[in-house]
Amino acid sequence: MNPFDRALVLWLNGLSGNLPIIDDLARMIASDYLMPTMFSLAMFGLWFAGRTLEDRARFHYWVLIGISSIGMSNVAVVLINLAWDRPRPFEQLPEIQLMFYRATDPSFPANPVAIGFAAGAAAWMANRKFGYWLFGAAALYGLTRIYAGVFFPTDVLGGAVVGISVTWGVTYLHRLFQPITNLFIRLTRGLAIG
Amino acid sequence: MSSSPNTIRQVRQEILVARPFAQEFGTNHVNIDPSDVQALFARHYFYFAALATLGTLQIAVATGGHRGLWLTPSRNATRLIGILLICAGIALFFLMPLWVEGPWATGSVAADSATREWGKANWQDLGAARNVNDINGGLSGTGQATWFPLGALIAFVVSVGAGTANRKLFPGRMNQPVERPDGTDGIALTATHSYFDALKISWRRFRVELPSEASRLLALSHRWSISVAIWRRFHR
Repeated sequence: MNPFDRALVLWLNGLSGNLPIIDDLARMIASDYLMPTMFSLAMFGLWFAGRTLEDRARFHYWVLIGISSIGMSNVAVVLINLAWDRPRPFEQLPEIQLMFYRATDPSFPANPVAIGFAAGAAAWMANRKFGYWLFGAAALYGLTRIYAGVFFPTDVLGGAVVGISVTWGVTYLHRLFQPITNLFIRLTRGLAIG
Repeated sequence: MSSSPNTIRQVRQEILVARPFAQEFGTNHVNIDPSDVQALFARHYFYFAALATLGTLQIAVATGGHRGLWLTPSRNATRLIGILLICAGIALFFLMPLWVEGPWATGSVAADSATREWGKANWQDLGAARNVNDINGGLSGTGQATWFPLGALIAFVVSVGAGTANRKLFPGRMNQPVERPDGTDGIALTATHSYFDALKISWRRFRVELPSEASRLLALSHRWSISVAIWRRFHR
């Protein structure tokens, strides 16, 4: 364990237990449901948000890239987990006050953060401002998970790098599947949902 | 490196050992079947997803000017309802343990989700009530990926129904000029038509344009495209 990880996770987790309302809020944000659903909602909303033809075409393209990137980020995390089974902070540091369930999968990279940054990177390509909001939400998600004692800071950084890299890779790989994706987008227009 | 468990198998073994131990000492968490917990979480998550997607859809279509999908004839009211629906979805999901029995009985909501008891939560336990590992019945990512689209589908159907009803009930207000999305087919048509009329027009146009559109998109495709490679192979 590197000193940076150790110091930061102990400091952040050490802040817990002082204000119950902050702890409860952190537990809700760190849950498996709130932020992942927000990322999905962001993709869903982006699909319908365009006002001009050009906006809609761009948003649809990046929503498809975003959804594919979320799926591929999971695959990338599993592959990295096979190579490195890093124990969680609460397994390595007895001082940790665990505020979350005892997660059983490897710590590195932070899977939920990877998903958040994958969605954020796609949203950023569609609309810079919206993308920054999602990056902020994904970073907050990672921070609360460190606060809860289930991730090291480098797990969160690793998750962010995986998410953004996978989105970049998927954008390139998408070229293999042209014009199927474009035809799919055209089909959604035919069904009046795009 | 610590000697604490760090593999799924080790932690599962600990849970299996902990359960009979806890049973002997009088706690009833062994009566909780993970499949019961999962069914409960799936149902609650579906409500959450349906409300939140409906809210998001309303904000998006109000912003985009797609009137045929608005819940109300007013853009601002539709947007406000959208925000309220998202908040309602989140609040419902996280507050439900207060009045619905589940793996969050008062006093049993410790960090570790393997030692929960069935019952209603109190305010102090609310923050952690939903934090249940998927091996103990929490909803996995795959489960969420199943229920979210279903919620989104329901949200879309509700929006289509409301938009169609609004056109019939408030024809004057629904035909007032608005900042319209450009485009002559697809969802852009819902600015001036009901969803069903937009669907009819868009589908007809799609069928007519499909051959030329497919050729055009094929011609514009990147040189890496598998479809282009296959096309060239069979059309030499």
